[in-house]
Amino acid sequence: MSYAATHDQHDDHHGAPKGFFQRWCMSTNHKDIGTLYLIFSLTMLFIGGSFAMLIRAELFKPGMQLMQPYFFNEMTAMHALVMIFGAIMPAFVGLGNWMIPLMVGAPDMALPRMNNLSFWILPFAFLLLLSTLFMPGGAPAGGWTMYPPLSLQSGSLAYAVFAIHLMGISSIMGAINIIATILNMRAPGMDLMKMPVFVWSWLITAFLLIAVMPALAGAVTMLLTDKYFGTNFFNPGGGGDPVLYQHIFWFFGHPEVYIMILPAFGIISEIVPTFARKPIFGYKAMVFAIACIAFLSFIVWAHHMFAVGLPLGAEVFFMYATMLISVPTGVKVFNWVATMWGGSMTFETPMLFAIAFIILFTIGGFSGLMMALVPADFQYHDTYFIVAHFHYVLVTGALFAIIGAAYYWMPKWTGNMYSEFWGKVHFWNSVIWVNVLFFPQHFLGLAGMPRRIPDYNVAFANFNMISSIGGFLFGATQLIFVGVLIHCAFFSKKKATDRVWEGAKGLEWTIPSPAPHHTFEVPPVINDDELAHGHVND
Amino acid sequence: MAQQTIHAATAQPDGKARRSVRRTVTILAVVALAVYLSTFLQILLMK
Repeated sequence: MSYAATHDQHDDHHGAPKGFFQRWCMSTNHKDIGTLYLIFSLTMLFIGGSFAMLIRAELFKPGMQLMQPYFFNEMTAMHALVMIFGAIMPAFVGLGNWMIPLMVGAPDMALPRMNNLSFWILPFAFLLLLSTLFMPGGAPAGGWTMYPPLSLQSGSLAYAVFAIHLMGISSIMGAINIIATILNMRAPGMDLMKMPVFVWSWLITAFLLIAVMPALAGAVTMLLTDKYFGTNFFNPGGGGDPVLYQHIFWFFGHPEVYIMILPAFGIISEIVPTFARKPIFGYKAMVFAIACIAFLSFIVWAHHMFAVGLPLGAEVFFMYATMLISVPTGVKVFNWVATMWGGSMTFETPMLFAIAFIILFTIGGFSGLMMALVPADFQYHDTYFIVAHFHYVLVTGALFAIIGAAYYWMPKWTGNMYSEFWGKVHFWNSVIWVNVLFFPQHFLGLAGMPRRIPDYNVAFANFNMISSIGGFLFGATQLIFVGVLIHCAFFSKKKATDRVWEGAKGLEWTIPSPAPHHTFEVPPVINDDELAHGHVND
Repeated sequence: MAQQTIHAATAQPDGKARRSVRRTVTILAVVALAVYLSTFLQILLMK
């Protein structure tokens, strides 16, 4: 790889602005905005995590322990909203901001000022959402789905709806920016079918965001007008139908699940080849599998509503369509395994998180396949089996991928190596306690424990206690991650090389570590050897 | 070279690439607005 030739083009002739306000509040630099997104999402992870700790504390043993039932319901709703819109999605946007321009050889995002606005909307949106906890009547407590008529009883609905509008605007602007960047600002030679899989996964995710976030905005606007302006969209008394809300919500909600997992697929497709020291197996199949999953995500929404009373034909259609998703997902899992097969593997922390992702996400995928079956879903619906399923997909799936990505690219961001020892301590504690936390919830659900309840039958006591202990320890383990991050950024003496990892390929590894404030101001001259997937068409 | 802030895969000149970005953004914004407005079409399903 022509490092010297490439370095000459990365002259950092004007660095970051000196003042704190100018640097962080007025920034149009994709790296700084990416850092802001990542810090914001980490903050939200701990706020949402503290809600989860309260939930698990209340469920530690049967009977009402710590809180009133309404506050428990507020915690379940706010935990989900904060984690989905505040932690997972902004983390992926932060990673995309940081890495997409570096991976495609662009000097910045296509719309840098809009990038700044996209981020700075978010803290205000979440201040608004979290402020509802201190309002008379409390925060929305009808779950993150906000089904009417239950959600219409909340006095703070308007605040939550406005917060969701702000988050949606931020996401749509971010998605437009990412698409405009990828389609228009790639360096010469960076053809679409030579882009890293992470960039592909974000391109497809951005299209999903633009297609479905406005549907959520429309649904919650109608909630608002039903409550305050006398409309009857979801009021049967006025000719409306609450089930229509569920259709619109899940038309957004199911692709939203993939918005939270497709970039994770991209991250795993970067980490595994690096530490297996082999090109990704079946690059084209990986890209088409992502596109296929994205397409299918639009035609499966009613599997969230089997118990609502759908026509038999609709149930059969949505059942088979849902089961179809396992085909492209299986392609991805087999290709990750095939990439590792025969590779010279090493097990640094990012690779450990990637392997844990592949195994544990697959468990979540299998339980998803189980609940795709209509008759079985009637049994599983609204039980802890569902809670176990989506936490395997979103915690050991999306969150593990994000943590793996942080370890993988941290040396490039900070210029320092993190502590491999503490990284592994973080990994092993995470992987053990997350299973102690969520695996017993499968048994609870199969035994019939409903979700979203603060009290339960004594028959469920043991597994709940085990789950809560796992939850407390998994939460505490994440403090190790914060320690590793702070140590790496400010105290680590071990400097990172430009390429950082022996098996890493791609444009982002041709720039110095830490990445200069401005990169690729002159388009890099690249050839296929420098790209992770440069010879895919051979 | 500081002027060259945008470059396309086809190595188009800056002005052309900027127009391309503008066109992409316009199309995507119109799509988002259309999806938002279309959700209200459920009013047609009301009895």
